[in-house]
Amino acid sequence: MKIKLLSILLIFSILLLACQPTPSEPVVIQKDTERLVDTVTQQTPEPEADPEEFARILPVNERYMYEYISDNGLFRIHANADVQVPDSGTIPMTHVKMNGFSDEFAKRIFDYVFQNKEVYMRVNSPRTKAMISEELKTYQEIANNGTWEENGFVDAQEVDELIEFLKGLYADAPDELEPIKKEPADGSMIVESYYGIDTHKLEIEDESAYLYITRSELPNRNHMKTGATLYYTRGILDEAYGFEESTSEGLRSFQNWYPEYDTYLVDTADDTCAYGQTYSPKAAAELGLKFFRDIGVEDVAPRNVSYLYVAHPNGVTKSLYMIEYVRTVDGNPVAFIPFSQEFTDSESVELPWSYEMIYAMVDDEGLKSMSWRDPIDVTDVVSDHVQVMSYEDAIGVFQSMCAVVYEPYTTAYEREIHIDLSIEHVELNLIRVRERNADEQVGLYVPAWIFYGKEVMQFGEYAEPDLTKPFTQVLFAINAIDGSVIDLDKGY
Amino acid sequence: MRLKAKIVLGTSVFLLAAVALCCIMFLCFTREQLEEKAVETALSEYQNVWNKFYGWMSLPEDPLIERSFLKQRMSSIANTSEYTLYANGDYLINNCGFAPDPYLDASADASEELYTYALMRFEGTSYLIVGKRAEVYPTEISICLVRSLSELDSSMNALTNKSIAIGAAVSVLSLALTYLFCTLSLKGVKKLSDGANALATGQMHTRIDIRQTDEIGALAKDFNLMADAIERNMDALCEQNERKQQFINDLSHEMKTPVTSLLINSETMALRTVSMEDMRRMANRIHEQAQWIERLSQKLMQLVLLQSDVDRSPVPAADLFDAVRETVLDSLNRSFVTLKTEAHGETYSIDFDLFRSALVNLIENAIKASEPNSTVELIANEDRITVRDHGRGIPKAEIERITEPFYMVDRSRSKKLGGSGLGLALVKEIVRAHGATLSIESEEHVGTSMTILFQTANDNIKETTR
Repeated sequence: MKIKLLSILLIFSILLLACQPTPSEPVVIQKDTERLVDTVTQQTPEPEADPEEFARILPVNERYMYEYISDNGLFRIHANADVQVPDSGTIPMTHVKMNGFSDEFAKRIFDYVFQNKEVYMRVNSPRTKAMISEELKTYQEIANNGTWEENGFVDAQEVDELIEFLKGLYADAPDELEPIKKEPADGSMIVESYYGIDTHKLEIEDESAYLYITRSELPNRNHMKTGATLYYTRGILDEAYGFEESTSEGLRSFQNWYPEYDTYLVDTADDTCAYGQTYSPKAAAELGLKFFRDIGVEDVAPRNVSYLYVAHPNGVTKSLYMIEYVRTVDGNPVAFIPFSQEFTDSESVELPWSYEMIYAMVDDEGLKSMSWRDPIDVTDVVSDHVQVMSYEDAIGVFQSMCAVVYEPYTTAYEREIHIDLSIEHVELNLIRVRERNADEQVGLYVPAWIFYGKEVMQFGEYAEPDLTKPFTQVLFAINAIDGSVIDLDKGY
Repeated sequence: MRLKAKIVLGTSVFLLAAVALCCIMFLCFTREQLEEKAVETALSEYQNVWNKFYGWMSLPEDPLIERSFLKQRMSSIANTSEYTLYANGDYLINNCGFAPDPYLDASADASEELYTYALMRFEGTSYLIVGKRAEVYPTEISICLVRSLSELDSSMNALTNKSIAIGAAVSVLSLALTYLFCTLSLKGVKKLSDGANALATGQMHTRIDIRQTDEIGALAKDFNLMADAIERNMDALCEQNERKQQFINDLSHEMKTPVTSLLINSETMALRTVSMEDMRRMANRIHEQAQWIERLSQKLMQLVLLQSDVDRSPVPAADLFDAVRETVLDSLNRSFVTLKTEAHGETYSIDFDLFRSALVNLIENAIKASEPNSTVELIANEDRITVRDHGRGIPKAEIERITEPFYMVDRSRSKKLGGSGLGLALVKEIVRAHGATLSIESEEHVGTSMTILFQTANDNIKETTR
């Protein structure tokens, strides 16, 4: 009887298993970045470094001239640009990853800045119950109103997680604000937890210098949790300006909102000292480069040098150089994209990944401050010599696609918006293209035709023009391998 | 395997199967619902994206610019990180790692505004694919939304784990309760088993005290009834055994006297010289004892024969009474007693000879107990036959015993009159063999009535006879 029962069960099980439908195997397709890599690696024959090859892609005229007005007259392009390609005659493609500043690197910078001096590390006091309650109140309101998207959260779940984290903190939080601790520093980073994310931090406040280095252990989807930051300021923080405005990035932001203050680009090769400055633009740029060389970073080059004369509303005036640096790969500069990707698509699974930004401030006394965000590491080289699309092809794509990209904005809102683009430079640079839907910040440096210039927007016929991008920056980027337009906001 | 184990095991198997089936159905239903919702959301989103994407009038002629245009068009639409773009045999955008288009129904196209969707798995992750094809001559375009359902899978996994945990907990709890219930319910069986064992070891007074009103309770009642019947039968058997033993003892005792007399008289005649008169006396004595032994053996034989079935047939009472009168006529004449018979046409289903013998015994006893010139009555009245005398009667204390084999009220007088002490025992057996009863009423110095009472249903006379 038992044998019969077992036999029946066995037969039944076999039948059940046998009746499963045989799944068809999906066709594996490479992801976009993998296809790019594949395209490059399959380029045959592998071109040797040949400046003449690059010359082939140069236009007959070394300037790009172009005028365009849209049918509705709201979008214009004015191009009177120089065209530049790498002097080396080659341009590579590499894999990149955002690793942040390692503990070893932080120690190296620490040793360089403070030169064995006895300094103390700033350890943040834990937030009090009152502080946490305030934060909880704010986020609870966001959760109740469902306004998570407007407040920069990826989804409602992120708000809930934050609320739960804060509630957890509340139990052990002190009632009173504890005095800021200062511990003797040896260049080691400490780990602090912010909203459940571990951040490695080194913050030194000393009369000789202020050094702030952070690295988030695991970037999450919230825009507040950036990857890595390095701030250096000579001397104590300038109280007249406040912390943000003492840094290069802060001043730049300040200038963005107050463009009426004097600021203009100077030639990075200009050896002339401007307006009573101790250093010429070239020398100022060199000071920054020395800083990098001294900490072991060689692949940096100055991009723009601006002379700034800033009159703060509080009456304090300052004049200094602001130098924008870019990373290089085999002498090929990476495009300078001076804004951070603070957020991702609300529906996106991607992590926020700001572009690498390096600024330095040089005043009469020398290097005043250095700001370096989200450093990128080249993990491996896909190709040293990438065959890129020709300049003519790039121009063809630009002239077709620039209007496609910008024109919709002229009528996207209730009122007409005038957009004027002034193209000043066309360069073959490297640009970071990120891998989509990846769990970490990885991507490629790909060759791209970059159209640098300024943008002016006018909201309504009678409004004053608004120099939304007063500084020469990337207005349009074309992937030099497949001719696709690179969305700088999205990173691909 | 014990009954409790069988019940618990069987219940467990069925319960587990039922719980598993319920859980599986619930999970399948839930997954179906979630997938439907995901599909509905995806279809709505896809339609929105499609409408935004497919708004151009014509494509650039240059293939490079066309590709750039299509990619930019797709990338410019918000929330399209999950989309693939396929044009002219190549994927312009694909970050899911596999080709989703083969999973779409080939019949879907833009003109009919049909979107198709499919569910599939790739590298352990479930995906929902929504897609549509369009043709903008000469370019064939296909856009697919490839949405990972890993969150749905995770939710289902969590739900599955919870279901398994709850199912296991419910099963274990039910198992425990089933075991407890079985234990309580089958407690009575143990009692019954113990009771049966006690009964088997001779404890006839064992009864089961179970107050359940279910089958076990009914079984206990039946057990007690059985125990009652066994006890009664055992008592009856013991009594019968005692009677038999007593019968043998009495028989031995009764046989001993005449045999002793035979031996003494025959030995004297053989070994001694006796006078003719003494010899004649001894021979007569031997003859009397031999006759008595013969009568005794005949009565014994009749008693033995009565153990087998009695063949009965309808006999009119009048005919029976006439036969009886014929047999006892000599006794009546010798004793100067009159026999009065009375019948009203009754007919009895009896063995004629046996019943005649029984009535003869009763009348001869009545004759022996009667004074000369008295009357003995033989009366048939419906379901009874009565023999009544007006003789000396029987002491009340003796009435119960007079039907015992070899029992005689006045032994010496009975023997003198030729009695063996087996007559009434024989009558009782004959009456019992016919399914009737013998009742005796007597009063000293007044007389005795012996009544044979027949059962009213004649068709079960043979059953009761056994």
